[in-house]
Amino acid sequence: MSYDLQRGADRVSLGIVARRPALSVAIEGLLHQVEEIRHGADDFELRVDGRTFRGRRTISSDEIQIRLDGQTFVFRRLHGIRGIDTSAATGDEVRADMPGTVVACHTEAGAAVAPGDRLVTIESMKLQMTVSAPRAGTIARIHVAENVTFERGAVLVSLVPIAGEEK
Amino acid sequence: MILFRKVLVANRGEIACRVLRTLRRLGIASVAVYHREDRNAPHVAMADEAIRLDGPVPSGAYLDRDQIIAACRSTGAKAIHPGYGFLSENAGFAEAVEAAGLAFIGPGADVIRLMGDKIRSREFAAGHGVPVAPSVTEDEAGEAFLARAVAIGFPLLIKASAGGGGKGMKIVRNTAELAENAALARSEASRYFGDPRIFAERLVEEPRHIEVQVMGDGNGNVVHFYERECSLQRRYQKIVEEAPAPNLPAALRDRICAAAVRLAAAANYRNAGTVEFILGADGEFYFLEMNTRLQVEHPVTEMVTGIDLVEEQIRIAAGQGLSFVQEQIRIAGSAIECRICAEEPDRDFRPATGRIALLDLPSGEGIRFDGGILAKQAVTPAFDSMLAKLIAHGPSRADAVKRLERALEQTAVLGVPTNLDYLLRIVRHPAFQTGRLHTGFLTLHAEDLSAPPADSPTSVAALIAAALGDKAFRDLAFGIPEPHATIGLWRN
Repeated sequence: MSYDLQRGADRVSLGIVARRPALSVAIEGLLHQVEEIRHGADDFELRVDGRTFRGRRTISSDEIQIRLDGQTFVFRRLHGIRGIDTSAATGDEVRADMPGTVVACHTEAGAAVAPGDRLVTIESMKLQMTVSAPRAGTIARIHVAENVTFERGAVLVSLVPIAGEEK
Repeated sequence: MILFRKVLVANRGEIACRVLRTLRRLGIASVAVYHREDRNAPHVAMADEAIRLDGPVPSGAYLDRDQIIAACRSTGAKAIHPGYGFLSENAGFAEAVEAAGLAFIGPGADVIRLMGDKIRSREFAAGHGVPVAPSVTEDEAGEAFLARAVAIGFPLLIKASAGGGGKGMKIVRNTAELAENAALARSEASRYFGDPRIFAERLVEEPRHIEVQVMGDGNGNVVHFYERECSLQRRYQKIVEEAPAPNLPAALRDRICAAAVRLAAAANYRNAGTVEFILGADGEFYFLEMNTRLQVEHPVTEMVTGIDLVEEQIRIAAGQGLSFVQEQIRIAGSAIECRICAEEPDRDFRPATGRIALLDLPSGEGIRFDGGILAKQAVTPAFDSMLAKLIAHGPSRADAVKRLERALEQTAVLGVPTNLDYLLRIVRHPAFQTGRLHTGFLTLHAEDLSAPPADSPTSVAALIAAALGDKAFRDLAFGIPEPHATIGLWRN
């Protein structure tokens, strides 16, 4: 049985190898003995391979965050999430990963772009940054315009593969 | 003696809270202003009264001078503390406040204007014996340029007069290289900018950013509160500051502080200000600019001098003059401040947003936490990404570093990405611990300061702790009776 979490760009599996006498979890080919000492609403205490760890934990619908030994860890929950947006994954839709305002659009519908080409400049929290093309393609549509405000996750630009290109 | 009966704080976030604390301690009634989006913010709750500012965008509301002056009228506040940012260095606002018969807790409009102008302030500084980085501009004739450049001394930076963005810049280390590089820079300047004229200035290598806190009474009397080192910067913004500057020879410190006082006195400076300098490895220092307001990093000065700078600002604005003569201002120990920002250091310090799900504040001897945040508060893109400042004071710099390290470990902000881990890596870095600071520090040590690999025992424990936080994993690990679990395995 395994349970997956997303850590950065990687998907990590925790395999439950044994539940008795102690919980034994396989992670990336290594076996870890786990004893849960405390399971609080926003804190925890564990013994992993004989070492004790005390930390803080928050859980939201899409993330689990851990503060442990002066380090912060963010994991995305995958379990039970269905219908991952595959168009976003292939880069056909370029989304904003934070809310903000559009300062400038650098391209137009129908234009061919190469990976890394500037698409739009956005401003968020007084800082400007450039959103670039994640892949080569043709601009299908620009969903925003200068001075338009958008929310996190909003689609800024849609890309279609360049004609004749294998997807 | 009565200072003001009531003071309005024209700001938000941590600085509004910080000013409100001093007002409360002095027994002065306080008025906060806020935009609708900030209605649950701590500064609104802390003030005796709060007036809502209307406006389509939150940052615009805090810049609306008419509404702020009207809020003074409606509440009977007699003075305005502008904090930093927003209207704090707006000469027109200072003028409007005084025209309305109110006190502006800051300098006069003319000084704000003078120091806000890069060229005029530099000329003013040079005219009063404050060193400015030597530079020469190539005139139409161009003949004497090389000789004048040599006279500045090496190393030199040669740039296009019309230029920017680093194009056509050359570093020249001796006379032999000069003519050729000047010719090259000229041709590039001509190509890039259509203007072949170039200028040369002294290149400051491994520069340190040293600034001096000053306070003046407006009648030419000025004291300084010693210096702060603010060399650790990312995206040209400071993130770690300290007082006093480490490894700064006493004689040099005295010269820098004296230059700052000379400048402020020449301007008949009133209230708190900061004179910023660039200091080279060779001990030469040059005027950068003067900030005519309280600085973000003022707490480190307060910690080492034991003086509440906001209280002094209020006293001066109330016409009481300076409370201290120079000899009474002494430094005890060392203080270091970290700016805790909602940002992602591993993604080029990109600002981050979200909701603060969990907040643990540090405590302990010598620890000060200046924050304007609450658990469950939303961090939106409407404002600056700085959430709070953590300041540690100790009898020595080593003690302050140790206390800061412990306090950073204690602090937790979950729900919004922050630079806490990055700050801890800075504070633990050997070059930081020994005080070898310059403005290129974060770039030079970028590799050491990047996130550690994910295979450490702590990372593995964090992953397991995360999984154990999820009911789905708990069901697998503990919850489901064995036979069902086995079936689950088959189904998978």
